Amino acid sequence: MTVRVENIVKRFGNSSDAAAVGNVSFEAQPKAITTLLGPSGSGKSTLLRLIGGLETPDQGRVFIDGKDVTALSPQHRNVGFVFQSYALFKHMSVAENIAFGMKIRGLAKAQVQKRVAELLSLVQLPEYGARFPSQLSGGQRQRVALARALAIEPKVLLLDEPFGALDTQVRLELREWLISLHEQTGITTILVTHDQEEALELSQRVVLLNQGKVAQAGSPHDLYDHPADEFVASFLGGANVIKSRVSDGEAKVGSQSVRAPAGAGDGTPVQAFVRPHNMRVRRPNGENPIDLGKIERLTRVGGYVKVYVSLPTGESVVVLMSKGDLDALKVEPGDPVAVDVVDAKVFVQSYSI
Amino acid sequence: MSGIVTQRAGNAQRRDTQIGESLWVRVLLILVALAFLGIFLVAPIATVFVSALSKGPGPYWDALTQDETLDAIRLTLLTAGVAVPLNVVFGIAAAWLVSKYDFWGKSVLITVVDLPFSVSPVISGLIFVLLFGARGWFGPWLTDHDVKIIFAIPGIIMATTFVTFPLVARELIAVMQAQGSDEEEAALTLGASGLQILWRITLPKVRWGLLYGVILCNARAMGEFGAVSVVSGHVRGLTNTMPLQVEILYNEYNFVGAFAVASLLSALALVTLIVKKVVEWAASSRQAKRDASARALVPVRSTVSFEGVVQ
Repeated sequence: MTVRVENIVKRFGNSSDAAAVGNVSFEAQPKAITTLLGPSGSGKSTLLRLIGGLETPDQGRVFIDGKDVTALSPQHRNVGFVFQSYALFKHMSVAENIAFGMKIRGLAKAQVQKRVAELLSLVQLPEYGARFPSQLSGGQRQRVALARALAIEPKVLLLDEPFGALDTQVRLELREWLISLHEQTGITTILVTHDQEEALELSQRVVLLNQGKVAQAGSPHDLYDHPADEFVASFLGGANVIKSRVSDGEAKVGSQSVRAPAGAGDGTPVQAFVRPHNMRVRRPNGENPIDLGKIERLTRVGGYVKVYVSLPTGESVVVLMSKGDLDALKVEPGDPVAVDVVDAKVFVQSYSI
Repeated sequence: MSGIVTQRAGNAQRRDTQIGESLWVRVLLILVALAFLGIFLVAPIATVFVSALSKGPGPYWDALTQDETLDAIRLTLLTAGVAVPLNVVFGIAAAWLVSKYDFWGKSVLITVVDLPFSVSPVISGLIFVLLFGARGWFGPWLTDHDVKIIFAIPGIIMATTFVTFPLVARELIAVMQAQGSDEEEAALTLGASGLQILWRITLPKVRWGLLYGVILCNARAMGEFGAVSVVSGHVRGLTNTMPLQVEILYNEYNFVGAFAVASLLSALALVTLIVKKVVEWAASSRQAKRDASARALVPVRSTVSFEGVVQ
């Protein structure tokens, strides 16, 4: 089922306030996981609640499966909604929680029982039906919430930061589990997260939001490799920012010259975004010592080493290198090094911060 | 009004602390507290029962089964029987409105809910006389249509409902605001209607708070004197509630009769306190039980048949 959002605007409070969601349009492909990604306050959760019908848009339309549902109450939208806070019914057992939506729909008792058992085994909690939510761990609660949402056979599954309240270990496990669950059910899913890693790993399509607007939408690779602007580049993957100026249509970034954006005249200040793994540290090779950087710090992260280098311009950058490569260089903090740039994206510097 | 909440907080904070006061200071403080309790609480209540039974159980029973007294008891039960359910309905509606919606004038509504508490009960009664009395706003119309409100049972019920209105509403507003609306939103996306959400989600969630509010509301409805005294007109056997009956009998120097009725009201107060304690205890021990079994949770392999679980 396709979900399409057209020119949605939502304001809270005064009409003079900035819109929480300002004229957003996007489409979630059927049978895929689409992520709404963005920093807090970017309007991603509001957008999800608008799709689910828990908020009413000031302008714009929401289509589910080609049908305009903008005026439809959430009661009749048939979407599965999973909250960050789980929102399980505390006074009901796990089985009763899962059965709730089906009982509301008036399904026969035997059918409800059968489906509850199926869903419990789908979320790998087959023996937890009689437990109460307060007797479950956070990860188990969220799986029950998913089973409850799936029980009504929704057209779309909407997940609002589903793993946000869990610790890292459980979050990683549930991420894997959600991918396999999605493969089994094939249900169109829209997931809200502020965690870029979660977005890149889980989804086929990412809608990156910033201040209530779509910054860029596309496949995770698109956004990572071809960021549309500086916000996308810095939000996704983290990047070193190196200031430069355009000369002869090119900007010099460290040892490399990168083609400047079209229309940027000579002398235009630009920012280059360089991913930490797109830089290399090497021993000086007869350069002018003024062009050299200095190693400030080495931090080991698993098989990689983060090398913090202060550049002669006063900027400091992080370089990510494999431990083997770095060991071969035999450098220590305080040593002068040259920094090579393998790849960089250059944007005309904007003055809005 | 948020007794259950404060009770739990109090238990959590209770610790064994060694306060470095010397023995005689502690003894003195305890004696002062006991003397105060004795003079202002125990002695008056004891007096009520002692005076009521001063001529033995026979006259006590006769005083209680006198026609006028039985009428007063009946009227009191009727008044509470109407006022409490009305306030439960109004209280749930008001609490639902305040805790689930944002609207203009919400803080005004919360203040208005508290109004009956900040007004003297006598004034509360007077309001109804000014509205529905013979010279009141609606007086002539009511007289024309032969409807009696003031100096009649409808007036007593209205004044009692007004005075006891905040008890249920305030308790529920506190509980509902603390619990938030996540579960209601989840139920909504699962296809439940507003009424189904109220019945299956919200009311079960707030049931202990609601029960607590009902107990307090009932006690106050049966014991209300000031407002009821103004609108009642003290017609014997017709518009006298128990507190009014106590006053009448006392003024007639019928002490056994007055204290016999008073002893019933005192007993009601004691029963209310006990029930209130039981409710608090049930609510907190239920929570503690859940917490304890949650702590003790290890993935226990238990075979559960779904027969008994899904109703």
